[in-house]
Parts: sequence; structure tokens; C-alpha cells
Amino acid sequence: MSEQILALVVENIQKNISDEQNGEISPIISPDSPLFGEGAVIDSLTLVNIIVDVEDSLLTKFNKSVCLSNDEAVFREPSPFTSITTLVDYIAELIDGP
Amino acid sequence: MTNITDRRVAIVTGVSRGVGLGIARHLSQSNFLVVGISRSTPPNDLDAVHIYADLTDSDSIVSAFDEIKKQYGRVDVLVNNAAVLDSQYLMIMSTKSIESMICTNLTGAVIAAREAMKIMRKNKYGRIINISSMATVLKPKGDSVYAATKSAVEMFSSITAKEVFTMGITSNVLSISAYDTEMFRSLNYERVQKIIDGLPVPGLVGINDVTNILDYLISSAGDSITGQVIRLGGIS
Repeated sequence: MSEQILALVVENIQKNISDEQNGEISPIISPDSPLFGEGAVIDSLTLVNIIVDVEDSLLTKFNKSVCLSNDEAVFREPSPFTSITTLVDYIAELIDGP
Repeated sequence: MTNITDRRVAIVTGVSRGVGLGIARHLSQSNFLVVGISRSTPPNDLDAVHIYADLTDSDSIVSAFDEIKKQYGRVDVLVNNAAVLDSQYLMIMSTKSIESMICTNLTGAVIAAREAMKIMRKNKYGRIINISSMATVLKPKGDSVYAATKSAVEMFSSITAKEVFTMGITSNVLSISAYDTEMFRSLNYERVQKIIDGLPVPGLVGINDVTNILDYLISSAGDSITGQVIRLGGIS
């Protein structure tokens, strides 16, 4: 399941970065790519779009209703949005349980 | 089963009476598929889909939008109209009234806008029109909480306008002056008359005054009009 979630997250990140840059630049991302802060591959608005798209994709592709913008996600330490890996782990935890 | 529609979808909160009902009728006549959200059932002759939702309950609002997304797959217009008013000196205003006004007028509008934006961004088009009141400018005694919620909505609309403009979504406020609603009639008659007489444009506004602005904001002419507060009645 984690591999499917990873693919879904990466797909949405690539799509949003590509949209942001009018499809001109193919983004290079890895599972450890930071999603915000220093070295982030995306800006804050793109992260917002990715979160909404990932929630949407999880519902349409896996029929899983997951909220990535609730208090638990926002205030959790370390943040689930630190990197692609932490985000994927967090989603898997929400779906499968800790 | 998903029933994706080619018709433009407009959501109106507080659709069962007053301004919300008038706006819903107008949008329906303008070939919008209107989805009305309210606690009370609208009149049978309104050509709209009705979803029961309590605007003081965030989960209820989110569920309503989930249903709209599943059924229609799009939201083009959101009119955040639902509001409650208890005009009273604060010292004798009940906690229930205070919470009701904050939850309905502010939190309800914020949650509805959030859910609408998530759907609107897919089509890179959306119009959010938040209904406000002359109370934010006139600051009448008794309206401290009501006016505070509406002022908050005006600020909310202005800031979210910046957040979503690049997604093709605009957010504006239409501030209505004296409109003949149950809410307005619930106020003291002499006080109401004094307010009306003191307006730069004295008298009640009609539904056409409201929908003329609404039509403009929804049209392509309104593509770049965002973060604005448009006040009826000549109030500034």
C-alpha cells in the first residue's frame, strides 16, 4: 500500500510543479525531497494544492477519505509535510492505523 | 452514481427565505443548477436542489459539499448568505445567541468557502460572494456581535481573495443595506425607519439591486474583480 501511496503523492507533486511552471521544466524529486522550508522543491501555495489533490486522489482511487489538514497533521512533530517519505508514512498510518 | 453536469452549479446558503431565496430564484432563472443549503426547507416552487445542513455544524457543511462534489463534480458560484441576527445590548445577550451568530455568520461561511474552493480550483474558475451588512459601517447599538461577525467575513474574504486568485477564483463581499426580510422586520420599527431615512440612498433595496451586482461579479467582466466590498445604499 505504501508504494501505491508514494506513487500517488509523487504523481500529484509532479503534476502541480509542472502546472506551476507551465510544463516547461520536469521536476526532479526524490522521497527525501523537503516539501517546505529550506531546500523545498515547492512553494507554500503549491503545497496547499498538493494536499488537496492528494486527499482527492485517495478518495477517488482508493475510496479512502483522509484529511491531511486537520489539527493533528498541522501540529504533529515532526511534521508529516517534512518530506515525501514522512507524508507517505503519515497517510499510510491514517489508512492502516499506527 | 456520479451525475456530472454541464450546467453551472451555484450554491446558496440560507436559501429558505429572504435574500438567499431571492438570489436562488434569480440564479435558477439564469440557468444555473442551484443547490440550496439551509436548515429550513425552501418553498416548493423554487427550482433548486435542497440539502439540509446546519451552518453551525462544520461536519454538516463538509458533508453537504462532499455530496455536491459526488453528484455534480463542480461548483461555479458560492453565495455565502446564511446569517442570524440577535440585536441586543451585549450585557443582556445570551451566550447561546453570541455563539449562534459567530458559528453561523462566520465559521459557517469560512467552512463553506474552504470546501467550495477545493472544488472550484479543479476548473480554475470560481466566484465566492459573501453577503455582508450595513451594520459593519453604521455600527448600530445592539449589533456588536452581529457586526463583528460580518466585519470578520469582510476581512476573511479580502485575504482569501489573495490566496485563490491565481486559481481563477474570486472572492468578494456584497454588503446589503436595508432589505425587507424577516430578520430586518424583527428589529424595532422606529429604529429601522431612522436607519432607512439616514441612508445616503434612503429606502429599501430590492432583489434586483442585489442580483445586478451578483451578475456582474459572476460574469467574465468580473474576472479581475476580487477582494472588494461592494456596498448597496450608498453606504461608505
